Amino acid sequence: MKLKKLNEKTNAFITLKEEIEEAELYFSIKDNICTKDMRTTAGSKMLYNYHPPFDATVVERIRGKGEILGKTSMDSWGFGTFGTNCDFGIPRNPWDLGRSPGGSSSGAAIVASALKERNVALAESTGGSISCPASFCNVFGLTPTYGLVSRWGLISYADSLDKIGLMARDLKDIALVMNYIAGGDERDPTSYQGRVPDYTKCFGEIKGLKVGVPREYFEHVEEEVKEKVMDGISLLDSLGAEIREVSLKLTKYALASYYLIALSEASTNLARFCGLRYGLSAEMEGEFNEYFSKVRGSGFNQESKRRIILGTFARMAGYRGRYYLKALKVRRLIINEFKEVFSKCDLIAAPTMPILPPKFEEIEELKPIQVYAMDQLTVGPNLAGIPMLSVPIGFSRGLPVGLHLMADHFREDLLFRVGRAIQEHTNYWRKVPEL
Amino acid sequence: MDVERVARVARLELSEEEKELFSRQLKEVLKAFEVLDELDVEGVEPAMHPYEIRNRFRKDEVKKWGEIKMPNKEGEFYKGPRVV
Repeated sequence: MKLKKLNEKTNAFITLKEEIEEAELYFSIKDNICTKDMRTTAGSKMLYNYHPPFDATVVERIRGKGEILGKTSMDSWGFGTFGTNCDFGIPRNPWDLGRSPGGSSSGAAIVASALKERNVALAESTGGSISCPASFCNVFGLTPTYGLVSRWGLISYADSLDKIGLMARDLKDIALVMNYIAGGDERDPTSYQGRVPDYTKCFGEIKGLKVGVPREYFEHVEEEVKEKVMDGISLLDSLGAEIREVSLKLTKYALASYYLIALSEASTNLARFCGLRYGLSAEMEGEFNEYFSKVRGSGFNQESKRRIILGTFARMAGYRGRYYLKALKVRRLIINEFKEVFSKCDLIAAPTMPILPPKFEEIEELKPIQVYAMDQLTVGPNLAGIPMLSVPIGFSRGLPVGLHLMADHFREDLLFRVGRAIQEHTNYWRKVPEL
Repeated sequence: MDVERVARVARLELSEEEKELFSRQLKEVLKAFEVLDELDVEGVEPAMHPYEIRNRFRKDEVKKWGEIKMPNKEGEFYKGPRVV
C-alpha cells in the first residue's frame, strides 16, 4: 500500500496514521468525525491542534471491523463543492490531478477511488458533500436518510441537514458497513429508533420498479453528462424498470432555501469556536468580545467568514422572517413535492452533478453564487433528508460521471437493489485511476 | 447588507478588503435568493426537520473523558479574557 505517495500526489489525508496493520478491510474517516486517537480538524486551521477525548458513535461502531488509515481532507467545516476551501492542502482528483475531486468529502472519495485495497470511507453530507465527490471520483456514495446514522461526535455544520454516509468502489462494502453503523443512538436524539434491515441482503430483480426522471434535473446540465446519465437510465429500462418522466417544479427554489437554512444553522454552530476550550487561541488581550473577534478573524478562512456573515444576517432581527423562516417554509413545500413523486414512483434518477470535474483554474474564476449553483441537483434531496446514492455510470473525456438515485425516507433497500443491478451489468466501478 | 454590523454581531474581525469583498459578493447572493419571493408560503408550516421528530430524553449521567490541552487551562478551569 503506497499511502504516503498517494497522499503526496492528491492531499487525500489531513492526518495519516503512522503505522498501518494489514487487514481485510480498511477505513478512512472524514476529518469532521471525532476520533480519540487522531487529530480532528474539520479541515480548518481553527482546530489544527484538536485531539478529541472521545470517538464519534460511528467510529465506535467500526472499531475492530477493519484498520483505520487516517483522517481525510475536506473543505473546512464542509463549506465547499470542490475541496478548494481545505486549510491543509488542496485535494486533487486522482483521475486528473489538475481537477477537483469534488467536495466537501474530497479525501474520502480520493481514497475510495485510488486505493487498490478494499476500503470504505466514512464521509458526511449536508447539501451534497457525498454525492458530488463520489460522482467526480467514480465511486459509489451513499447519503442515508436523515437520522438513520447517529451524528454524535460529528462536528456540526447544520444539524437539521447533516448526515454521515459512506463511499466505496464496491457497493457491497457500503452495505456491509451500513449494517455496522445504522440505527439508533441515545446520544443523538434525532437518530432513528426503528428496526434497520440487513443491507447486504438488499438486492434482486428491478423489474417493475417505477423510476421517475425529473425533467428539471436536466435543464442546466452539460451534454456529455446528460448522455452518460441517459445511458444509465436506458440500462434500467432494459432491465425491466418502468421509466417515466416526472416533474419537480420547485427545483429552482431549492438552492436559496438550502443555503439560507444551512448557513443560519452553521453560523450558530460555529459560535463555539472562540479560542477558549479547544482549537486556536491567542494572547488574552482586551475584553472578551475583542478577543473572540480576533481569534475567529484569524482562524476562519475566507469562505467560512463569508458563510458566517450570510448565516448571521439571515437570522437577524428584521431579516429572520424574510430569509430564514421563509426558507424553512419553502423547505416544507420541497419535501411535500418529493413525497408526491414517491407516491407514484419507487425511485428518482437524475445526474448527480451538472458538470464534469472542473479544472482548478476554472474554479478560481467563479463567483461565490456560481459555486453555490453547482449544488443545484443535490440540495433538494438533502433538504428533504431522503436517501441518495451516486453510482459510477461512465466516463467522458476520461472523467467520471455519476448517476444519482433517490428514494423515499428509509428506503435505502431500493437504492442498494438498483445500485447492485447496475454494478452487475457495468464495469465502470471496477476502474482504478493510474497514479 | 451592512457587513460591518453583521460581523460585529457574529464576533468576527474582518479586514477592510474582506468587508468590501463580502459586501459585493453577498449582494449578488441575496439578489439570486430573491427567487423565493415568487412563492406564496402563506400558512405553510416551517420544516425544521425532513420529517417529524419528537423530543426524546435520556438519563443525565456524568461521564469522564480525557483532557483537551489548552494553554489557557488552569486545573479544572479555563482562563478567559477580561469581562468588565
